[in-house]
Amino acid sequence: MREKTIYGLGILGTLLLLWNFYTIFLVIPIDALQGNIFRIIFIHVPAAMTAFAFYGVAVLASIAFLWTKNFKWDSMAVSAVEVGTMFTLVNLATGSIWARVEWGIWWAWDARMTTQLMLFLLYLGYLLMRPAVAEPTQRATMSAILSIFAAADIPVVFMAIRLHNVRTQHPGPVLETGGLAPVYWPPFLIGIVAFLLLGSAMILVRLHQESSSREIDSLRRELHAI
Amino acid sequence: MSAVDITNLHFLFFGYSAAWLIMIGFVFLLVRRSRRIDRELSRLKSLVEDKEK
Repeated sequence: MREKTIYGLGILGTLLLLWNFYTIFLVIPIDALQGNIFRIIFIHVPAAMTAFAFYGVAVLASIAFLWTKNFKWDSMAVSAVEVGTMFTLVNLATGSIWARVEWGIWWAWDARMTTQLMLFLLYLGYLLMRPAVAEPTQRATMSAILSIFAAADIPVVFMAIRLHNVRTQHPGPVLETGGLAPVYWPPFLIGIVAFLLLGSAMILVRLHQESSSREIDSLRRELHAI
Repeated sequence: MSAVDITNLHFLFFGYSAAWLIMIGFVFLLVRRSRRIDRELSRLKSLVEDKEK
């Protein structure tokens, strides 16, 4: 059942993504100001939104772990953080390539980009910290606290282009201001759904790995006891 | 098509390639780790069975 769900989510996500590429490259019109590089937004923004969604899952799972001390929540948190970090990297890489065309530079240390890079580094630190702590309860507790702490950066990233007193090179918000033409909405939303489906399949694989790793630990203890 | 449009297309190609490479690379790492964990799990299971006999 678990494998069927993983394959189902993976195949559906991939098909949606391929169909979306057809729409992005062959159906929607070129942007008058930016030209073809504009089409990168359909992978750049959905990747960020998917990462935020998975970081949100990680925060909820971390709170649940601190509350219950049940390791299944720790497994959920680490799986969601790992997949979320991968999508944050996609967001940073595509944003940097877009910046090279539009601004002539690969990177600008403005509020939005710096806080997003901080988010990536905080969760990368989370993933690097885990193998360094041997005791499982201590590792899970420290991870849960770091995960909640790191998530405090998400509203900062979100607000970085919305505060009037913050000067930023990054384009302003277009989603809630009507800046995105109606023709661009379907590929944009389908991109988010496709990434969420693919990411969920990856999280299910990671959850299975975490449960197998716990079984390995218990078998090792059993072997020592025999 | 102007030189600017061609450069634009090149960078669009780089952007989508980077995204695909990161995602495919991540899936590759997932599969490799799954295989390693499954191998270790079956090795330990057979060791426990042998010791219990």
